[in-house]
Amino acid sequence: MASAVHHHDEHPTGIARYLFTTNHKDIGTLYLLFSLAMFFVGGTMALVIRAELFEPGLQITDPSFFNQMATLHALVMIFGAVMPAFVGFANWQLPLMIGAPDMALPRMNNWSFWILPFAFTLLLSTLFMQAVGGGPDAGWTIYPPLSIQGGIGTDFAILSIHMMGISSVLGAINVIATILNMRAPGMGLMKMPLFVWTWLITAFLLLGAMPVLAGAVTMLLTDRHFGTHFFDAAGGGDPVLFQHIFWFFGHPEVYILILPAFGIISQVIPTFARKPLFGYDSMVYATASIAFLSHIVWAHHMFTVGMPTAGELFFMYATMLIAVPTGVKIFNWIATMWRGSLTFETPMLFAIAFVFLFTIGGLSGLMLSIVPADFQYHDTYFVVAHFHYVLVTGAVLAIFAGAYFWLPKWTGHMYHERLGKWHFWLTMIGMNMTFFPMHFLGLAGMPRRIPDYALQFTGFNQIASIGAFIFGASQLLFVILVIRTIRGGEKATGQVWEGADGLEWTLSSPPPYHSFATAPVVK
Amino acid sequence: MAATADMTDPRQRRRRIVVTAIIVGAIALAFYVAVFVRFWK
Repeated sequence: MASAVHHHDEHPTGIARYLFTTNHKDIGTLYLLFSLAMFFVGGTMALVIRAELFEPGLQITDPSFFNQMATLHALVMIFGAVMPAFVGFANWQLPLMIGAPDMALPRMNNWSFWILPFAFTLLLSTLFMQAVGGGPDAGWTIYPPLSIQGGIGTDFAILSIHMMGISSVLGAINVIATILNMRAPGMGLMKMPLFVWTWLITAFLLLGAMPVLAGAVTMLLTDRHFGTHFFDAAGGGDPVLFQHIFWFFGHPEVYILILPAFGIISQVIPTFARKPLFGYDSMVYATASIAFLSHIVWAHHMFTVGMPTAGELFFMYATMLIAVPTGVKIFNWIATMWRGSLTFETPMLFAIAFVFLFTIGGLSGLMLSIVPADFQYHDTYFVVAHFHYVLVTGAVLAIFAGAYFWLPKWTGHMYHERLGKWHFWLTMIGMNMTFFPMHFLGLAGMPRRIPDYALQFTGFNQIASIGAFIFGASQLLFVILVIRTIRGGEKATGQVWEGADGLEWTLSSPPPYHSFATAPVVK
Repeated sequence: MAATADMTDPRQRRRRIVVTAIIVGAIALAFYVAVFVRFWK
């Protein structure tokens, strides 16, 4: 028996282990490391932007390069950092949480990951092609006609977006096949951990959204090179059509980035409140409602293009409706903490910060959903403040909460708690200094996506830039902490956290290379 | 197709995984094609 166990734990060593791996834990680690690297690449681009905006006038970039930075920062952060981070969590945690030995389609899993480095090599290589136009510079939304006129960087971006889409759809197929077919006996759908539920729904969102983006960028490619005129008014096409198709993908994409975050927070808060999640059923239904509504609100991103009043009213009210299921979630998290035996380890600090700060992003979203108000806010820094509060103080904080929560399980070592708290507080100071003043800049009328600005905006821009450098530098603490935790430290128990509940905590820390070879029975 | 039935039977499980993957993949492909069909003129 001992030799059989030993045999099952064998795997190639060195680079071959990771190139050819079909193990969900290895692939999860690859996704997480890739995501971390991309956070630093995208973060460096953000710092170039903030350095340029420290003062009015042009200091360190020309306007074209500034546009490339803004475009690539968004593409890298969305498709290279946040999405792969959640896929990394899914790979590590889904099989452990549902009691499955691995993902349903392990070879496809390997392929899903290994497409990504090639996609981003293509995308980032454009920065070294400045002589022929450099990187894509039409914004991550790549609206025509600007994107039809753009240089070779746009073609590289189109190709890499196709590759990212293929990777995401393959990942979504895998997640759905795993959750629907590989659950341990006794684990009905309404017994699944919330993280599993949010990922199941996210996978369906990916399925509905990514092919539509792929269609849009393929049409853009044929408009650029093969004589079609989907989006070219001179040939009978319509540039606004692109906006409709893009945002039909783009709004569900927002929820692809945030639903897994909701799942992580729903695992962390009950653990450190030492209480079951309040309103489990309503959390599931709220997640499904958000997913449905996300498909019928896309035009709130384009109120100013000129739409019939009936259309604007529909999209306004439908958007406001999203606040209801989102509010259900926020109140359920608060109710879970209410009269709980709370302790404030680093994952819980990040989770509580998420609840508070994501709500700010949600409320500014509600302000943007009001059509006449949006006419004022549109294309200003208020929008930049809003989506950074949703994606950074929302999605990224949840990623940190999840990383601290599961790091002891993955590595077998406890992380350094004091270092974690330093990371948390410096991140809080840095990110709020960066993004909160942007609300005021936007309300005062500063447009987004510009390398220069009027003199009266200087003060708030300087606060934002200093905050961005604090935020960026404090992430080095996280890297140090992760390396220290991987290399050693206090041994983690299987349970890790006193209030932890679920199948993954029944395994040792770290779990064996092949876990749940025999399915556990859930009562 | 009860969700947790016969999970222990590897053959049946493999068949169900493949069927799920094909259905889900076909949905994705259909969305991609639908974008062209809808806006081709």
